[in-house]
Amino acid sequence: MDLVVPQLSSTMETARVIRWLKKPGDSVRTGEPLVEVETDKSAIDVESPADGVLSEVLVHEGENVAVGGSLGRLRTPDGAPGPTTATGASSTPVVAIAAEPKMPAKTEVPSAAMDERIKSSPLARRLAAEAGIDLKTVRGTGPNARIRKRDLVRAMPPSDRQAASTARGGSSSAVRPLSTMRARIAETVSASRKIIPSFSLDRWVETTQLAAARASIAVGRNGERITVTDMLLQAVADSLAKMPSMLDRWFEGAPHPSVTTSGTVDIGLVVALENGLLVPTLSDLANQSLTHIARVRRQAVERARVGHLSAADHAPTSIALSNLGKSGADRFEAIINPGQSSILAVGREHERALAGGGKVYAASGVNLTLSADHRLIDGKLGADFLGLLAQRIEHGSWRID
Amino acid sequence: MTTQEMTYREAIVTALQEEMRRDARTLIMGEDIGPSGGPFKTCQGLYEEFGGQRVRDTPIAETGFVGAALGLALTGFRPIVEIMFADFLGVCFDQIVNSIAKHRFMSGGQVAVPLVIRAIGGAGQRFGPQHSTTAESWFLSVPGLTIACPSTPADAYGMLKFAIRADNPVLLLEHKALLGTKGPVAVGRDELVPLDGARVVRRGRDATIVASLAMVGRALGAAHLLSTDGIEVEIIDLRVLRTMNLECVFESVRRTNLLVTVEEQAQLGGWGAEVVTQVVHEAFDYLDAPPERICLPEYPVPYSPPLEDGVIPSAERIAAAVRSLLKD
Amino acid sequence: MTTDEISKSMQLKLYESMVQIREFEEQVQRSFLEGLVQGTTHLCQGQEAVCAGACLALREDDYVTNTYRGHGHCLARGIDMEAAFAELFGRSTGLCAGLGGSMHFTDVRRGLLGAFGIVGAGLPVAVGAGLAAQLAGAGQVSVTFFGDGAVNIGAFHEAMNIAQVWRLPVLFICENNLYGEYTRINFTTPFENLVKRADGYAMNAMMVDGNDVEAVFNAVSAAAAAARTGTGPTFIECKTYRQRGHSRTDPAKYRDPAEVHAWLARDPITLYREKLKNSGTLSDAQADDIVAEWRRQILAAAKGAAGAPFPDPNQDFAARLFA
Repeated sequence: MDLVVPQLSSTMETARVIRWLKKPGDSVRTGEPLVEVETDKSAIDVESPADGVLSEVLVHEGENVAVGGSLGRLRTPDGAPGPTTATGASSTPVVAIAAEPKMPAKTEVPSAAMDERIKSSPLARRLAAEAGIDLKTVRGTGPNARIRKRDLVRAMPPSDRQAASTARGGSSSAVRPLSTMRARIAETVSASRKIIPSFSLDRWVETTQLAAARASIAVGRNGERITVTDMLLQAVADSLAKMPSMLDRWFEGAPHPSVTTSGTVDIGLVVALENGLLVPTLSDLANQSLTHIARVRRQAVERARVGHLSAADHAPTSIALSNLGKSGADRFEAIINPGQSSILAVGREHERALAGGGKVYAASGVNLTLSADHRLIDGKLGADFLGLLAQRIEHGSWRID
Repeated sequence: MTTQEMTYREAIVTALQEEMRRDARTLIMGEDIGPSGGPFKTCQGLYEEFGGQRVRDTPIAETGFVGAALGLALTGFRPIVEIMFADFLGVCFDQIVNSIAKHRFMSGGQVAVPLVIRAIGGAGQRFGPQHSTTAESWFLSVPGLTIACPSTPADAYGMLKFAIRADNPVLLLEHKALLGTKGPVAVGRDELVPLDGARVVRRGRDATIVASLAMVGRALGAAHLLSTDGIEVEIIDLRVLRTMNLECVFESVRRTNLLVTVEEQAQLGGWGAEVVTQVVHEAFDYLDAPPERICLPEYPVPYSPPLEDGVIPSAERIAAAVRSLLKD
Repeated sequence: MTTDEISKSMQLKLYESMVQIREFEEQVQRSFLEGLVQGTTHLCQGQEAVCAGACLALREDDYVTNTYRGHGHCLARGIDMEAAFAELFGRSTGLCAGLGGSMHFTDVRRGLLGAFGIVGAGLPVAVGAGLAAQLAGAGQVSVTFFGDGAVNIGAFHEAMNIAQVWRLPVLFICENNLYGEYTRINFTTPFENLVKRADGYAMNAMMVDGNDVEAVFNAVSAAAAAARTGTGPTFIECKTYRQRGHSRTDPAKYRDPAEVHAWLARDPITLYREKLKNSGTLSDAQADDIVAEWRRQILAAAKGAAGAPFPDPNQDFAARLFA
């Protein structure tokens, strides 16, 4: 049989032979290190896959060999050296073994076989099976080199290496586990849909006045650049202060359906990231100036971008704001974050033809879509809130400092 | 029904009052619970309202009055017994496990035994080795007993009412360190809280912590500490020891993949073993690490204040255990 | 009530009750040898006068708790014999559905609240029933039977104390047969007249010849009457003797043969039969008929029970455990 170079990391393509530990004619046992090779990450020993005799060395010290290529040959007790594996760079040890008609010696050397036993958590075992990952290719970082879920995530091959999983019976489905963040988002939105009976309300608001005010403000006293998001935050905060029942949150864990509230006007801000999103809470925004709001908004966004939210960022809140004013969607309905009772989605800012006072005119504006938890917010309350908010955006005055 | 903010102690008194008003067959016995209102004031005002026939001071004779409770339960009454310190359950252990728990069964189902034993236990108050057990592990293996351990005023109130109306023997383990804690309570004549099992008290995604009695609060403290590092733990209040209903624990571990129990008792024989067993059974393929149990050490609770504080699982210790489970 | 005042019909009832108990226990012994009764069983031959005399002096609505040597009291209160045998044989038709066995005969319809296997355990329960009687105010009394061994265990002391302090209508009937299991009383108790225990609780006490059924009857009647009027509990020591060993497997070789002989000569049934014969109340022939009739009924009950099915192992045990 062939002594094959295993794929030891997702980025490994070749290995260089440093030192042979055995020479042709030597007896070898399963699990015994035969040759030291160097990969892109480190130097490792390649172990014998079976009991037998090292019959041939194919790659000598100092030479390179591709992953999946043959370093040498073993002669196993039933005589034949075995067919070579010819599956090329994408083959894995799984393939090598599958191609072998016999599995000599594994049962004859129980202690060596025990060393080969792969330790993995039940979860990792299941996820690997579902994703088509061979646990032999995964390095475990848990106690006793146990493979855990996080090790699978690291071992996940890049998407263009799906050929590795074709070794398992030739299926071409590309199955790979999600990143931690995406998995969390998936769980969160699923839970929201399952638990929260949400409904949505729409309102178009003209942003003419807002844009004009912004043009004249531009920068706050503290040097912070004032954004549309900041102004929306102030408008929402002012509206919440006038309608405090929008601050109620469903209280989990009481014997009787209950609500709770922090009593302050807090708003979660949806921050889009490269591979997902985070929603830090901006606290106590009632009566705050645009200057203050801009600063806390910027700091929270920075923390979110590096993935290091603070305890205050995790404070419970009843409402979040998702502003996609510069995106491609006219309107969207956001999913309420579990633990919150509503979320306000702001669509693309664009010009429309409108009618008013019997005349047709053009104006810029955005669609506001409020998704609300109907356990706490009825249609009228939601509609009233939107109406108040629209009024505030279209006709209210802005506190700059 | 009104929601009132009250202490755990007030919740107990209120529940006793309401149930004794509602059913003339209820009566309560215990040491110093009459005019004194109970050493922990858990019977305050009952003697004045219901009189000495129904609110009885007993001699110091747990076997005597716990056995008498069985006699009362067999003859048409619904007795409640207060055991001053849960440690004293050792004195009447025979009456509880050999008589009360078994009597209906031994009679072939002829009788019902509607009695409630309330025992006030727990460490942290410098009462020393013989006055500090929660007794959570003492009766776990006795079929026929229902054992509940309320950690909030709402549960202390509603579970006691439920227990008094139940037609079977219930052991309610209360915690002396929780007596002064406050919380919202849904108060009303029929506001019973069924002994229906574990409940999630804090949602999270990184680990599942199961705790009971005073350890629930400690776990919540740990959650706060962990939050600052972006680790969000899910906390589940066990609430009922016998029989455990752990559905929400299974569902939780399927999401978090990690289980930790926090128990105010020594590890050997503690309820955490049963939780781990059931979780391994029901959520085996979702476990990413062996479950962790945080318990008291294998020696009695010592008197010396720093030593006592050291043996009781703290929020810091719980947080550290979670962190080490999660670290690379 | 003096001997003269016990009516003839009650005298006959007392005699019949003792005979029933004796014949029942003898049949249990035989059934044990046949393998129908398994485990162990504690028989009361020789102590029938206490069972009959006490139980027949009570009202139907009085409460009784007793011990693992409890067949006699339960029979005297009228339990169904076939159900009793079925319980001993572990059948589904048993008094307790086969779940309790010999030591736990319970029949709440007849006020038999429970028989306890832990020495002394029934006494606090009896105190609770006594409190229930006091609160209900209908004049019921709570009677508890126990042996001489029980006067040394904590439950006894706690129960006696509470009953006296709360002035409860409880009769503490001690069947002093001189042996706590295999150990004679002089090794375990500082004195042989156990009424002295009652002194420690300032409780009324009576000491009676437990093999004189009318003495027992009168004592219990008097104590019950007093309890019904609210004067509080009474401790009644009945001096008696076990004709057999502690349990079925005990040949009781630890007993002095002279002692055994003396007590066997005072067999309560023989004594009472003679007394009734001397007073012209019961002839030999009538007495023999009574014995024969009970033997017949008991045999029939045992036969019937032996044909009953064993309990279903897949039954709903939870329903037996929880109401």
